[in-house]
Amino acid sequence: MLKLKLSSKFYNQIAINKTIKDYSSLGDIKFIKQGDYFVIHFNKVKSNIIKIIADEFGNYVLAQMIKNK
Amino acid sequence: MKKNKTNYEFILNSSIYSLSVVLGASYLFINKVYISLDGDPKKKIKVFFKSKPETSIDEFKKIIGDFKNELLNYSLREQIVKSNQKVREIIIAQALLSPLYDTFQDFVEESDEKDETEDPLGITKTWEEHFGKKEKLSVKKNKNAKT
Repeated sequence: MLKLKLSSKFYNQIAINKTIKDYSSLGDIKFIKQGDYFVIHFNKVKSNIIKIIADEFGNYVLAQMIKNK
Repeated sequence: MKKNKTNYEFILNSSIYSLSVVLGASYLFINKVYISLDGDPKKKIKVFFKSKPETSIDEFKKIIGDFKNELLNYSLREQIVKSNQKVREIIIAQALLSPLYDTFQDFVEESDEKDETEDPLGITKTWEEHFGKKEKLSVKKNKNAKT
C-alpha cells in the first residue's frame, strides 16, 4: 500500500480533505493522524499513476494551503 | 544539505526565512518539481525537492537555484510590506474617509456663513444698542438723589 507522510506543523487538515475530494476519482484515499504527521493511504490506484500520485498529492495540498491562506 | 540527481533537500532557518516566505516561493515551482516541507516552522524548515519525470537534471539544478533566489525575493517583499504597513493603512483610511470629509467641510462652511449674517441672541450688539444712553443717565441721577 502506498503511503505519504505530511507534517501537521506545516500541512493542515482542510487542505488535505480538499485534496482527497479532488483526487477521489484516482483511487481510494484516506488519512489518519499519527503524532505530528498526517499519514495518507492510497488504495486502488491505477498502475499508470501509482509512481506519481503521492508526490502530486503533496504538491496539491501545498497549493491548497497557499490558496486558502 | 543532501542531494543527488533527482532529490535535493536543505534546511532553512525560520528566523531568516519565515514559513509564509517558503510557501510563497514553493508555490512558484510546484509545476516543475515536487516539494514537501518538514521540521519545525518556528526553528528550522526542511525543504525537500524531487524531480518530476519530465524535468532534466540540468533543469532541476536550475530550479533549485531559482528557488533560493525566490526565497530572497519573497523575504524582501515581506520586509517592505511590514515597513510600509502603517503608510498603506493611512492612505487607505484617507481614501475611504475623503468623501465623508468633503461632506463635513461643506457643512462647516455653510454653518459658518449663517453665523456671520444671523445673530438671534444679539450677542454682537453693544450695551448702548441694547439699553440706550438715556437709561444709563437716569440710573446715575437716581443714585445721586439717594445719597
